[in-house]
Amino acid sequence: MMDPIKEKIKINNKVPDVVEQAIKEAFNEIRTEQKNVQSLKRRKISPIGLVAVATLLFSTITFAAVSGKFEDLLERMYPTATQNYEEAKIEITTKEEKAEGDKQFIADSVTADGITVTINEVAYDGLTLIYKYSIITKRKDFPFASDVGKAYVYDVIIGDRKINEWSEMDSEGRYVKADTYEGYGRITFSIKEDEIINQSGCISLRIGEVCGINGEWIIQTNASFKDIYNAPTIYHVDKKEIVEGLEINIEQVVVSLFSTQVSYSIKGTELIDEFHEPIRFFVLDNKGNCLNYRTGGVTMPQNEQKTDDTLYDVENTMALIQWNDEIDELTFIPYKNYSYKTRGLDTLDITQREGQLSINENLKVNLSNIQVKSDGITFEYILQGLNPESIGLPFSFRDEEGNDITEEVGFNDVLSSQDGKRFVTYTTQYPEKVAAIAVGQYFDCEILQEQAFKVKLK
Amino acid sequence: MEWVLEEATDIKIIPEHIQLVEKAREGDIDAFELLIHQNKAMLYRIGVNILKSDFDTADAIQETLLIAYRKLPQLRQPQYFKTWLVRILMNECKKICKNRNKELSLEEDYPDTSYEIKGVEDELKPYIELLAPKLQQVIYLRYYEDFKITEIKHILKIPESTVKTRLRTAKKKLMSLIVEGSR
Repeated sequence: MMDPIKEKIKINNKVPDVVEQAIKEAFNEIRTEQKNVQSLKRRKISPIGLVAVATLLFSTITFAAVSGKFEDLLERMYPTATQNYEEAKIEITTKEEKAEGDKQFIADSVTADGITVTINEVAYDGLTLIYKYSIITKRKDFPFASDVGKAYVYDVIIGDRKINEWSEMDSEGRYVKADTYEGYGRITFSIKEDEIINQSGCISLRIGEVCGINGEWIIQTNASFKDIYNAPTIYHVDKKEIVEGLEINIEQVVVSLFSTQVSYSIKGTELIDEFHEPIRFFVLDNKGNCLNYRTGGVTMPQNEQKTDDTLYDVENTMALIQWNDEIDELTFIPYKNYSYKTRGLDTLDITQREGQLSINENLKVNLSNIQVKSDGITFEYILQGLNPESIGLPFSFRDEEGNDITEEVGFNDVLSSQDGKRFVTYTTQYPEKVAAIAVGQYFDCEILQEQAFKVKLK
Repeated sequence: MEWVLEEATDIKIIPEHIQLVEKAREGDIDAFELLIHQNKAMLYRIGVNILKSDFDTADAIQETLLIAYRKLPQLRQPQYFKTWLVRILMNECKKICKNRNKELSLEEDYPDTSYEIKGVEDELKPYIELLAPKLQQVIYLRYYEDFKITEIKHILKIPESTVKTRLRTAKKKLMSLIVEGSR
């Protein structure tokens, strides 16, 4: 039955000039503010666009874009996968390439709209499917600069079932030679691995976008998820702690080939702002190294069906950026009231070749090898202390009077070594104007050190 | 006749909208601006119905945008962007009301007869204006701005059961007012 109230409603979409003007002024202010804060975050491309699992946020990491090596594409797309991808991958051949008598995985190339797509490798760690592909075409109408060689799988189908609802995707590709592109893509699933590997049927991948061009390339393989599955190690923790009146349960730590994730829940008896987590954690290993996780992922309000709907009850997943097999205990240091602050106070004189910037009492930045060149400034840095982000820092550059220099040609921040050292290139026409380096935007929070707790991994 | 409330069981995701939120969250001002332009009429309607002044509403919206942009990286669920934005706006409206010492009592059972709904021009308007402000709010958010019950719960910071009760009461009153008015 049509609701009689709805039938009578007429929406007025007029906005008075005074409001339009206020919006305009707000954006002027935002743009001015933004100019002073060089954001490092790379645009994430996700047709589905939902943040499904914490590890997915790796895609915002800016990595070694300067390197020309094909393998670096995987690092840019999913850095924690690089170490184990080679041993996890399954090679896919076409029917023509198939050798007699061998157990082989086959998937034919598909051509549509003058573009031929081939899947060359796949790997699955219980959470993420990584695929390596190649694209061959004579078409000259692509790619756009930001889409060079990228191919996105829109649907992952087992039998008749699409399994990537609410999942996230990413891709990195490059031009290889005339008419040929190659790259990696990934789909990180939101449904549990059991559901995936127990689904009978072979995997087919519907590629919906190639180098920015939409189309349909359905690659049918003869492999099931069981065939390509690499089981993760799961530590069932079930550690309960009370922090700030909230009941925290560290449920499990899942160490898979491509990522490490911690699942936990937070419960409270009050209605807490569900848009922001009331408590987050720094996670340290046995030696006290911060594992630099970047939080994110699924926040699942569990109270929708409960009669007491003032209860805060969420489940969450966070990904650890670093992991090694020696880790058998984690320390969780809670923090709250987190926010981003603009314009760090501490500055480092550009004439010094190295030095330290203090972000707050728990986080320092050690800069080294600072060089002023004719086209800009380069330096290396490494973070020391409790850092909640996997991405690099947005630095700002100041003149002799302490004003931010807004003129900028380019800014690049890449991970230069596995120990977390990063390399910054700031390109400017006026390097002589730069007198000091500062942190442009930084993370601030209230650390609840006294409420830290340890979790044993058995 | 007893009205059956529509349950907010199905969350419809519009990928383009979510994509915009994701881009905005990563610092893309153009994406944020587009989102705001998509939602500005809604922001105005909600603001002006609390503040009863275009100028005050403009101030509230301006502050809302600045806060929203700065806090956007903290927004964890892009599908809640609109709800989140409205809640910031309502907080700003409350601040303005408080500062200017003219807060409208949202707990008032019966409004002043001169109470006027702004930003709405339809046959329901005179009847909605006769409802208590707290009932107006839920009707307004549910029907004019198409928020789901679970979203209204977050916007108004009240339990879901209260939203349902208010909505049920408001609809009953509204329908009886319409019936009376048509006699």
